[in-house]
This record gives sequence, structure tokens and C-alpha cells, in this order.
Amino acid sequence: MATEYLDLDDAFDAYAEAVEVSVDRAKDALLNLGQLESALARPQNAGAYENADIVRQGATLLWGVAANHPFAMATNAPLSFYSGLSST
Amino acid sequence: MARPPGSVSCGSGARRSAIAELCSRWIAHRWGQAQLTHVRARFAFASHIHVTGLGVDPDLVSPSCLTDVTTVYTVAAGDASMAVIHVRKVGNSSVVTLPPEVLAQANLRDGDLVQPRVDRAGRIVLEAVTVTPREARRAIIRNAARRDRAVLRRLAEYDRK
Repeated sequence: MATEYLDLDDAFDAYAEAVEVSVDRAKDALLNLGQLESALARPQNAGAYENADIVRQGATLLWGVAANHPFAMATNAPLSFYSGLSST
Repeated sequence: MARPPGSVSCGSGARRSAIAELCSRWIAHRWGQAQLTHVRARFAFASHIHVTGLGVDPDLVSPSCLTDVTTVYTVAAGDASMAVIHVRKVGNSSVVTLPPEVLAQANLRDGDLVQPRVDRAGRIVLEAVTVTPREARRAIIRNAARRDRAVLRRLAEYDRK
């Protein structure tokens, strides 16, 4: 079965749900679009070039969002949420 | 099945074996020895072998002509698929055409999405992809958030401190 990866809209939806704000507020909380895109691309790269399984891809996403810090506030909640979604 | 212009009828027996061996050697020469066994096996199913770029009558193909051959492919016989497909340029992209038999076997139709990758053995793998609609993705996110609401609130509270 092919893996579906989170895109930007998913990331904003997930952030909005995680911190219980609107999607517009989630977009306002974004500090750096490039850093978010980079974090979201990490699982695909890990899968394609490092043969990472789905668990490692989830961990890669978690680490990417943590290291890149693309949002202005409330990092922990969306972080844990992203990693959970990646294995859904 | 109509015989393409310039194609060589394989016939059967020694003639088929000779032509298949000739083309297989050429492919191995161009693409590497690793392809030889695979190509030999595929040629065994071909009704015709189409040779272009020779500049001579295909029936006169000999080993000395091999370096002049630019394209060799087979035409399917029965349910056998094409052995060799040319990669061609369309605009700025390189395109490979999938034969209808392959599409039918893979249960693919026009408009379907596939994800290409190259495995460790160097084979190109096309994997069918199902894209979940946006609303369904939102529902998955909502349900996951609802499931973990207590934990998310504690984490959000921690972040605000």
C-alpha cells in the first residue's frame, strides 16, 4: 500500500485542531513556510533514500518539525499530533 | 496482428532463436550483461522483432551490424507484453508508453496516479496511489485530535507557560 504524506493544508489543519484555533490563526502562527515545507518533505526523503519504514518516517517528521520550529507558538502539541497522524 | 514496417518475422525454431539471440546480444552490449537473461526470456514470446537504424534489410541482420542498431523492440504475441519500450522525449519530459496489456494486468486506467521509484536492484517500480480527498483527510485529522484531546490540551497548556 502506498503511503500518503501530509501536505501544507494538512499541516495547517492539524495545527488548528491540535491547539484549537481556526485554520487562519494557524496560518498566522507560521514563522517560516520554507522550514515547514522542509519538515514535511523529510519523511518522503527518508523513505526514498534511506529505506525508512513508516515508524522511522513518522519520527523523521517529528524531528523535522521540532528542529525547524516553523510555528510561532505551542510547538509540542502539534508536534506530537503530526507524528501520530503520520502513522494513522 | 499486423506486422510493423521494418519488422522481422521471427517465425519459429532456429530462425526465431537466431534473431532473438542477435537482438539480445545487442541489448546486452548497450545496456549491460545483466539484462541479457531477462531480454532473452522476453524475446521468446515475440512474434515479430522490429529493428530500426540498420540501414540495411532487417533480414540481413548480422553481428557486424549490431553497432548500427538504434532501436530494438518486440511486438507482443498473444498475452505476452512488449519486451523493450523506447524512452522518448515529449516537451521537456522523457516518456515511456505502457502497453494496454500491462495496464490491464495492473488494473490501471487513464487518469490513475502512480508513484515511480527505483528499487535496490535498479528496477523501476510503478505503484498505484490512492489519494484521499481533502474532506476525508480533514475528518481523519479531526478524529485523531478528538481521540487525543486531553493530551493535546495538556501539551498546549505546557507550551503557553
